[in-house]
Amino acid sequence: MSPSKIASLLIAIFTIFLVIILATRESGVERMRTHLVGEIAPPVSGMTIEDDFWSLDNQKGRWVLVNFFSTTCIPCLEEHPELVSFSESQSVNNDVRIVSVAFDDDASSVASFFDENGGGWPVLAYDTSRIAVDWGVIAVPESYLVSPAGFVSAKIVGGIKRAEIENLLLRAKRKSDEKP
Amino acid sequence: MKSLKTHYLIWILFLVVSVLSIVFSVVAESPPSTNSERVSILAADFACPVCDGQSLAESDVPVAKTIRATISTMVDDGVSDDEIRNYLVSKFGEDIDYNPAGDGITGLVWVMPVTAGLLALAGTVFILFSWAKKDKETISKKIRFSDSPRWIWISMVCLLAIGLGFFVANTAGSRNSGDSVSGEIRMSPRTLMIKASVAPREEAIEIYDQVLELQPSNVEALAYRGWMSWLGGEVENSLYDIGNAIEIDSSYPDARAFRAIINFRRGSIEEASEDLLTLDSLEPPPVIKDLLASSRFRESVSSELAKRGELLAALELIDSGISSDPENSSLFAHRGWLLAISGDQQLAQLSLISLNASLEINPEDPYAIAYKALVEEKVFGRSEVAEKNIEKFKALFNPPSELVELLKLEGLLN
Repeated sequence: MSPSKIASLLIAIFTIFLVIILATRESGVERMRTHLVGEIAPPVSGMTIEDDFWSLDNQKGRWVLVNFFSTTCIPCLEEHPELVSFSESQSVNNDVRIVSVAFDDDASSVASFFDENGGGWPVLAYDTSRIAVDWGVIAVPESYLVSPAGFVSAKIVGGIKRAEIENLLLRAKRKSDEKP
Repeated sequence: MKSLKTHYLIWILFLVVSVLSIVFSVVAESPPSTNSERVSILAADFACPVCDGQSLAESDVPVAKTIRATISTMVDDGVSDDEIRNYLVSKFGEDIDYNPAGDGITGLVWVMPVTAGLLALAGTVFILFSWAKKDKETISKKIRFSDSPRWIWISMVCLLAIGLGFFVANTAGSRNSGDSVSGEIRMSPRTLMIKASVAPREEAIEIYDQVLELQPSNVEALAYRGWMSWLGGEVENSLYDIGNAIEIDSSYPDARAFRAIINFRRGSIEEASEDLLTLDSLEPPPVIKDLLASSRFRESVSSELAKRGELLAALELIDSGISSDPENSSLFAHRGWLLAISGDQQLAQLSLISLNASLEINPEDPYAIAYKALVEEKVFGRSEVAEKNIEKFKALFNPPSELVELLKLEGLLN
């Protein structure tokens, strides 16, 4: 085989190798939708706007909806009444605890927002940058459903609806029941 | 013989320059001296996950600010650069790392420049040998490979090419001015902003355009481009830019101050007052405070509100200014004047308290002296005290003409 043929063959193999690797790579969008799902939930702990200490570690045995939000983000404002409605339904069912984590927001604005718009669940608003980065939050609102065993069962990017949370919870419960 | 010497000299010079470049690039990278410098360097090494072509250091979007805050905490906690790098990559993916690790698919970033260099070199050597084969005599006269150990030269050039390839790959990740092997690929937005601050208006607008191409959400560039547009008479463009800046970052004080001034000039007094009230809660930088104080802008807005019958709003604006700048004698003087013109005797008493407070801060405040003279004469009928203040006023060097006119109008000054 002539040197030019060998060179062409090598270049062809290298190109095919590159195409295969790049084509089978996880895309950014896919990663955004599924990041953390099935993994152990990263830590969430800190002082709430009510000056109480709250930690995800103390919620083992319960479903928890971890919601990242900001009072300056429009979809977050739109999803808030849905969360309030879901939270009220939980006062009867008591299945899921909600915790909100402020994202690039100040505690006083967050406290005023909850005063005005309701929502009696714990809200972490002090030094929350590390929590947001631990969870790989890119843009709010983002919500995660954490199983009683402490695993992330589902991730919701964007504003959430009450019915959507209930469906996700139902599916996640079924899935966890199916496991031996 | 002469051409042979020149030939070797060129090769030696080439080698010296190349080796010195590599050595300099390694030596020039001195370690950061402070934690904040380390944070800046690390932030510049990562892409903002939601921006096009901006690093964490350059972007102002919430996620960039959040990650920067986390890097800062980790640096303060003594976490190493490698640990921070691994942590961020594990959270946001390899795509955000401008200097990826050498393993896995990202290793291609390092391998490809070297491979390309080697291929180019091999091609060159191949061509040279082809020429040598075709015309042995000519080539041997020009290059004289047979006179020197050919393989040493080839090995040296190969090593050099590999070294340079690695050097290019290592430095090309960061593209800020001075960081890149290819020099100023583009100036950093910070450098551009500094340049714009001393440039003439038209040129400054062009520079802000460049910054906004790199960072569409740069509030400083938006606000200052808006301000420059206003100075050039383009009111609509100006309000559009400044409005965008405030929408992106409602806590940026310069934009609030600019919009307040523009609105006031357009006759939108309430809007101007609202922006000033917001500005007071934002801790404006000294340059903005000075701009507003030197032009007595707040006092002008407040006077307009009072003229429109909104005395309470006028007082609220002045009180808000006093809380953020309690050493401003002019604000106390204006407060005293607003209370005096209310027509209420009790408020007139309070007016004197404010005027005296102003004079305590600055005994030569022309506004406090003139207003006090007027209040003493017209409200309390104490001509002697008024006269003393008029004498003080007369002794002032170059008092404001508006006060001279006012005192003349009220018959206290000839």
